[in-house]
Amino acid sequence: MIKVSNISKKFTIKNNTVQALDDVSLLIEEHDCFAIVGESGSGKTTLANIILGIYIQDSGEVWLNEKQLFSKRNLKLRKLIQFVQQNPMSTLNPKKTVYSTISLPLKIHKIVNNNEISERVEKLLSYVGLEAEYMHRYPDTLSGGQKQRVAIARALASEPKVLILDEPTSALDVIVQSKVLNLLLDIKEQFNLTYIFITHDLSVVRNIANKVVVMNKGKIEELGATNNVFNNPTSSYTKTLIRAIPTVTDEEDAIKP
Amino acid sequence: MSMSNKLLKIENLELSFKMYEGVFNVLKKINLELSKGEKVALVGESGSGKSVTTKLILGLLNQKNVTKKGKILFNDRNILHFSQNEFKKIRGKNISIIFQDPIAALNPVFKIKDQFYEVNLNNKKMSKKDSFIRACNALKKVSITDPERILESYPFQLSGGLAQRVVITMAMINKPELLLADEPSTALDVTIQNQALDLMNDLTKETNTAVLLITHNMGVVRKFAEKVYVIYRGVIVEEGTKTQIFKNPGHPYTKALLKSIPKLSGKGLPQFDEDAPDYALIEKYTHSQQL
Amino acid sequence: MNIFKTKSYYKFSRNPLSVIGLVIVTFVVLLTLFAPYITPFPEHVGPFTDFANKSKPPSWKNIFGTDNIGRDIFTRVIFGYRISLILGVVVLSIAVPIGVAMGLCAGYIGKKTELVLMRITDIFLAIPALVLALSIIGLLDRPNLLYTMMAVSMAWWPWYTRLIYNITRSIKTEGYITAAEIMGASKLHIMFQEILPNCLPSLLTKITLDLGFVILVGSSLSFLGLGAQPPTPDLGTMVAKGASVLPDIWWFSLFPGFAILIVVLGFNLVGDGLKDMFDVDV
Repeated sequence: MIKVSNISKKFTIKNNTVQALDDVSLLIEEHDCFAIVGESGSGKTTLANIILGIYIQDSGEVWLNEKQLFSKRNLKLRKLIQFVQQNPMSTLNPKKTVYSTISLPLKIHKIVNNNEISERVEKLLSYVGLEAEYMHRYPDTLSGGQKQRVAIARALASEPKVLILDEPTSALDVIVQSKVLNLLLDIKEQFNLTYIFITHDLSVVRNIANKVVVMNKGKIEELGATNNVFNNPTSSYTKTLIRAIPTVTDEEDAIKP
Repeated sequence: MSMSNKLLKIENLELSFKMYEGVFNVLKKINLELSKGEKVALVGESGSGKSVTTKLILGLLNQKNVTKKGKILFNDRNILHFSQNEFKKIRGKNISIIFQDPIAALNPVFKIKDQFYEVNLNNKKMSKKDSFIRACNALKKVSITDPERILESYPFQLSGGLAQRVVITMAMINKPELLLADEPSTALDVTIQNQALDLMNDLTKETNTAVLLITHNMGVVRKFAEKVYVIYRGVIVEEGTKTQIFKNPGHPYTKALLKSIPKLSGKGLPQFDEDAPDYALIEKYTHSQQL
Repeated sequence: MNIFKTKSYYKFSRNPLSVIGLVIVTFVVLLTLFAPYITPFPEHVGPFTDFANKSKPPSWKNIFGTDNIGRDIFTRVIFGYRISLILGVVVLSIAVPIGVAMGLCAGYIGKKTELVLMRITDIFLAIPALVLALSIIGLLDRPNLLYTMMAVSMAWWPWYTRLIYNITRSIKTEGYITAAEIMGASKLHIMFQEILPNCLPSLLTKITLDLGFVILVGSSLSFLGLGAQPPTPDLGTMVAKGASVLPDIWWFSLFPGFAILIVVLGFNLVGDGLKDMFDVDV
């Protein structure tokens, strides 16, 4: 459904050049939960930004269902791919209420008539487990987990087909993280979405993704079904990553390569 | 008066902040102890009060709206209400601290060698040349092959992992009795995290330095700590040895913490009931002493 | 909602000087609003002469004394406040929208727009306010209040451009701006509905501080003979008229001068209080 073909991207700051992505090609199929795993500098966020049209690649193409995606894209294409960011603290405009934040995509893409907006916002909040009265709250009165839920509701508002999630739970406490991840999986089922899940946390990937690509310094180290990559990792970098996961039980220790 | 063999003993420590919205009780009578050379972890999520505990040990919370009660006994002296002058004698020498983001902890406009100089002066007066040599030796000991280049660099020129190793070395150079480590590996990549923790382990073992590790990451606790305190909203809800906590967690909150971590076996995400109890109201679980 | 019970007012009132400033400003505004009713001799504001009573020192009848044509100085000072406040409000009503719009465009759109707009701004910023205002007035035929207001506005907008430009540049990489871009929001929406609300604390603080400063610049211009023309009372003109007879006839200059001081001080104190309340840097 989303095809990434031979994408390369270089960043030059003063005299330093960093090859953020080097000839990366992927195929993400409908209803996948596709994980992009890597440490800092791996290029995973750059790749997400290129798919979203925030950055322009130096070479290569991105395709959505046979249509090529460029950085400048029309509203119809924009609504299909939405984004949940890493940092819940800065993802909501501090001067806008929750209602204002969630209703923005509804207005831009004319999802519903103006007099139906309030009702739709209430419904979206209920999908993410928040009561209607949250509509009038400002972000500074919300916890990290609640902010992230609002961000998810906002992403769902434009009725997208693909959701790109960039470390959506890394900044949250572990128990909250668990609840938000469960929420994300429920929503994926309920709305038949495709997820591109970017993270450095392999134990999360193990439990939610059906396909995973491991990236290292802009190149693909390993790519395949989650079970295969974890049970039979071929690349030594992948093995190092799996071994480095902090585990809390002896059974898990035994699984590591 | 009997001398306890505890290096650090926190007794019934209470902390509250007075804000416009009301009074916030951040620490509610917590008790904690560390022996010489012991590695103890204080585990909790955000809002638990774990970070303010380290600030209190170092005497960094002195605003007008802060109320502190109880005792922090360091080598049997109550340091909770020490003056800043008295704290200056302890900080950097007897008690050292490592923070989460190593690059942010270092002053961006000074070279590494100058930052070492400041730390060395806590020990005794010495010339910049002697400080440089001392720093060089310390860095060589931790397998940094080009210490001279590192010392002449600015913090932004180092990678996160390297910077953390420099910070750890700096913190340990005066052989403190107690090392406070506030989420020391959280900002690092997973593969580098273990290196930083191993380094901390090696250095502190050599000098018999006790470590109080503050974290929310149970995996790190399991790798590093001997004894564990679990804190929730200003209350210690469980205390025990590493084996007791991980094999037989007693308190519902500890169980929830362990359950919430996705497992490598890949059997799916942990499921929670929507309504969690108020963990702070459930009585503290103390493991029976095993000999 | 009782505004004095809000958390914002609590923070504002931590500094007693800010509250004093607020009292001063409120007092002056009320004086100007009710000027015709509370002043003893409102007719002295227009064409009026009473040479019998000229240059009388302060007395119970004329608290600030009379001027060289016999007009009550107290009345004229209060009405002079009207001119000062009108000047402040009009100048900022012109300068702020221009400056804000330019700052938002330059900061957010960037590239060529930024280059052109900010270089124009730099040119205006390089010339001191008073000098610029004088030059503009000099180009026009006869000095009057309207021309003064236009000239001072031209000297003022660049500071708003620079303020808003800086804030915009620092905000535009924030998560919520990226989120709006990905959503497909138009540039116009992002500038005025996402970025601008976040500029308001700094903007309001600067406007308050500027009100005092504009009044001061305006008084300086009328001191030089520009600004409101006689017989309209203008604080700066009154100070100028009295300057030549100091120190014998001290009441001509002292009271208008003091009036300027009080109102500028008031706005400055309130502005500082807002700065602390919002925790901004303007």
